[in-house]
Amino acid sequence: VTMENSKIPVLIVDDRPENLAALEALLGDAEFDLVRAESGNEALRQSLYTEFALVLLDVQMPGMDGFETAQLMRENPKTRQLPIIFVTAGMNGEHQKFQGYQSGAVDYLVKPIEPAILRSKVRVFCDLFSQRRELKRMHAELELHHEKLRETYSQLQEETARRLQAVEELRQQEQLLLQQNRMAAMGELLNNIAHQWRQPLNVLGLRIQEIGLRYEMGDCSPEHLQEGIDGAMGTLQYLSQTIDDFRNFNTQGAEMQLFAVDQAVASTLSMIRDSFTQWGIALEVESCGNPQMKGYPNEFGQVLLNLLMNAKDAGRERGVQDARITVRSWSEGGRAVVTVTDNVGGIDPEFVDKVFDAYFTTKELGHGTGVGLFMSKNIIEKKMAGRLTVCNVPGGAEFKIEV
Amino acid sequence: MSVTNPIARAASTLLVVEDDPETRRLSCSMIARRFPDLAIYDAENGKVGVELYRKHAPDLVITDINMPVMDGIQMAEEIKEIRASAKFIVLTGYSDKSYLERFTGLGVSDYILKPIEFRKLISAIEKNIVATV
Repeated sequence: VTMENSKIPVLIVDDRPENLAALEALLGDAEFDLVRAESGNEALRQSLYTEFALVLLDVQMPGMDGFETAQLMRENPKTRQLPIIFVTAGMNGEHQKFQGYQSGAVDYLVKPIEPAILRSKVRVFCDLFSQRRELKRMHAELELHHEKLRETYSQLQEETARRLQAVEELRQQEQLLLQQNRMAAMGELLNNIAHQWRQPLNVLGLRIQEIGLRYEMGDCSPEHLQEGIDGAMGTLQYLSQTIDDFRNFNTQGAEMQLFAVDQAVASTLSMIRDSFTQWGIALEVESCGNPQMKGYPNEFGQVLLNLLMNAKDAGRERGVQDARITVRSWSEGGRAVVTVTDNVGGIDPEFVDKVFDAYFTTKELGHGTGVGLFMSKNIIEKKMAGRLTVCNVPGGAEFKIEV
Repeated sequence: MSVTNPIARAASTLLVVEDDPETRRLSCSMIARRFPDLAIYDAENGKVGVELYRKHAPDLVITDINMPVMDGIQMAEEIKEIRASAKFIVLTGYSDKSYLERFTGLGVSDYILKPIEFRKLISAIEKNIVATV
């Protein structure tokens, strides 16, 4: 039974059938569905089965009277809210009216009843009832919407979780690439340390042996001894500094910081200068205005190292004589700019758009991981919110870092 | 390029070719201390080495391999053309070992690995200078 279309049920209670008939005659129209009860007990039973808009309740009935019936209705949770109007013929004393209101009635009508008044009173409660019914319907509808929303929300949640997972996987992949690149850079650096250490190790050895030689030749004054020790210690400090540089280079900076570009450039170049010299590649630095960069100095150093190594490899692969790499840095419109310019032939125009792609490499198999430039772009653009671009210049290529 | 131990009438002459200035200075001063009678010339690369060899015709050349402008191998080849009997002691780092084979054909008397053990250098010099004198 759909609530909307059914008539509004009203319970009429009287022990006399002629009184019930009279009420039916008064209220009998299509609007109400009048349900009869001829005793208090029956009224209670009916009110448990059906949800009525209103009860018109006779006061004087044999057995259970109207007051008692009303009281019992108030005591039952199911009928507690049921509006009750007492209809009575003789019980019109103030005492009875008071008792009626006290037993929970909303009204107390004494016969003879003006039909228009009764009808309008009944209609008030029927309107309330239908409003409540409408409210319930809307509430149910809302509940349905709500349920649908909940469903959509949980779908969205799942979708979000899936996307987050995808993002996380991507991040891990990137992390792996970064790691690969760092390992490759570390390999290069280790190679450079070997170059960088050979000469000073030899010097250190000579200095120590010189002390012995002087002693052997009977020419070892305390001053000579001290001079020899100081010399050896100087070289030793240099070797120690080299490892520090190497270790610092591989430490990841936790927080963005403002750093001096020239200093970062110098410390990166110091690690590779010796081996570049060995390979006959000239390194030049030009700087102006002491530019400052916000970001991670070690990562910046790795990017610089990647660019220098690429130029070096290209120069050696192509057998370029008088290879020259110039690192320039300056400030421009609030940004720090660093360019790495080489003269080793530039990039094939066909590949210019691809050099920053992951796993793109023109080097021979086993000679390039193809992630150096990809990670460099990542570091500069994603981590440091800058730009890394490349273009060909007369004789070579120029990489440009702007942060 | 300078004469480290300019004795007017030296029994023998020696040429040290090495690009690292500190290694060059230390090696020369230690050799000079140990062999006061040797005239020692020094050069910072192969090109200068060839020029000095042409000028002074030293009895023995002690040389590094990896050097800018002209490396030790190319220098040895050019010196061999000046005098086929020229003798070399090669000072080299481990990574240069692949070069050594190229040196074998050039009549290298001794290889000494860096870091140099000075005693070995002394005995190599003694052996070659004595053989010359």
